Amino acid sequence: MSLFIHKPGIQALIQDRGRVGYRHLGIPESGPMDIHSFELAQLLCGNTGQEALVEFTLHGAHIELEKASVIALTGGGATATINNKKIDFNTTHSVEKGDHLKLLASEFGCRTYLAIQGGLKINAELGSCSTYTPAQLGGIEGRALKKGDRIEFNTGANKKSAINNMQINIDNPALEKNEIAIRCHKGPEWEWFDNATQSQLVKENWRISPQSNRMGYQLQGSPLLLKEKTELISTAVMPGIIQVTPSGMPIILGADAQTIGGYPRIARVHTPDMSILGQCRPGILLRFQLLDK
Amino acid sequence: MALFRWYPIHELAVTIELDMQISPLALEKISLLKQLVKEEFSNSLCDLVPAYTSLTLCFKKEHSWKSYVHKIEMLISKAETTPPLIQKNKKIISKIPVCYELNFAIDLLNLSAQLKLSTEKIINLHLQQIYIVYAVGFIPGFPYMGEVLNELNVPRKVIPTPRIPAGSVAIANNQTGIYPFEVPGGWHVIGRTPLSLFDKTRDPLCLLEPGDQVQFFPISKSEFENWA
Repeated sequence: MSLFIHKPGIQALIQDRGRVGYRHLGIPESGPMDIHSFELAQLLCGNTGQEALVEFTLHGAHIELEKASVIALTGGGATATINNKKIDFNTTHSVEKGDHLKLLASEFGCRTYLAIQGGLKINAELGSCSTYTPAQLGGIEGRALKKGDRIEFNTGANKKSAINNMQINIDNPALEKNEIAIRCHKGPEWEWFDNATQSQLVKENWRISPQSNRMGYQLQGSPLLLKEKTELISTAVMPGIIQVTPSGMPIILGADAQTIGGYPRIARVHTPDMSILGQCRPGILLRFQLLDK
Repeated sequence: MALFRWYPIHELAVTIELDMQISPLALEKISLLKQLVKEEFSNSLCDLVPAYTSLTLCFKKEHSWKSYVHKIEMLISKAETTPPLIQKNKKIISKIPVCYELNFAIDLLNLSAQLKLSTEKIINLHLQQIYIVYAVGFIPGFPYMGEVLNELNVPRKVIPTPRIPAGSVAIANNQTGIYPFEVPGGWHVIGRTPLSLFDKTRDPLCLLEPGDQVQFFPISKSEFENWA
């Protein structure tokens, strides 16, 4: 039996750990924007971590469970109810056939992970169930979930394998604050910017623009200008790289980002902080802390 | 003389970069380097991403690049002293149809004003060259091709276009490329091809791969619409 989508909310995407080994064809890994919350949701349900689950962006989702199972919600960006009764994140819930799960607006965070014991039954494409909408890969028909979708889930997993009656919280500042510090390293083109611009990167309060998505976080602030106009020969980029566009505005690459880029890479996010970034919603103020001297 | 330098771009990725401009020689040196990396690093890598003048080694999650510094440096000196491979079998030239009509060539008029060249001249200059595919990336199946004639050399747009239609043929700097899907992009669109650059049900997935040669030929709007 299955999950029935009454409303997907702002965005709902099926994700597993991602599609590894296709960057040379231009296919990004995709996978969760907040890997820590993803792993926790799987762990709570007693899953191996390889299963597919749903990543919701912010609020608005309404899901009906068409069979009893065990679920866990992690991350943030919403508060949750089952049959209109508020439920906790970061713990397991036994759900019954006909239960209605809703995600309502909340103040902090950006992405909620819904794991179900045994995982969702989705056909992998190029080795992964992760949805990558530009090339219509993974998920259901390679698209975001929509009203009327029914997603089967695996059963037969042992109910006892779930971590019951325990709440495990992750320390993620983006789940409780609007001003967030992100650690970073110097990027390959760090020296293309003069000292004043380099210190501006770390002094500025960067606002996350509403145009941000899983491909990248567009930041707003005073423009970062190059020492001299130089064109970078397009080369490989990875999630977490902070590139500076010709307008001087930085973009932090996300899980669905391009594999090759031609903008100077001033810095890169310290990988463990990518989960913090994955919970930052548009409007949040970011500050960068440089780890290298 | 050091031809290559290397640097990390991620906890799990290192780029080896050639100190050269885009050229067929650079492509040969990068393919040679790729061959050497494949021989030396079979089990620790999950991907190998070539670009115009660089090769990026993506390590598996349990392998930090930090334990491979010595090996990377050995490999670089080997690549610097090995003569480039001689291309034995000449590559076939892929012929790609492009409709240059204005409703597809959304940036052609602006470009004509910017470059002070007629639209016909721009199209002819674009059709004159045989291009080499230097890399595939950015989005699935996007071929980075060079080199565009100097007269057409124009920087990327300052503000990217929010939605570039699938199949759009575009130029920027000395490069030309084709957008396989509708995405935002900063290159100048001068035409559109009816061919599918990426197809998840096809083997190979991508129409073009690094090392391929490409020649464009013009088609009319009705030919475009009836292309099988």
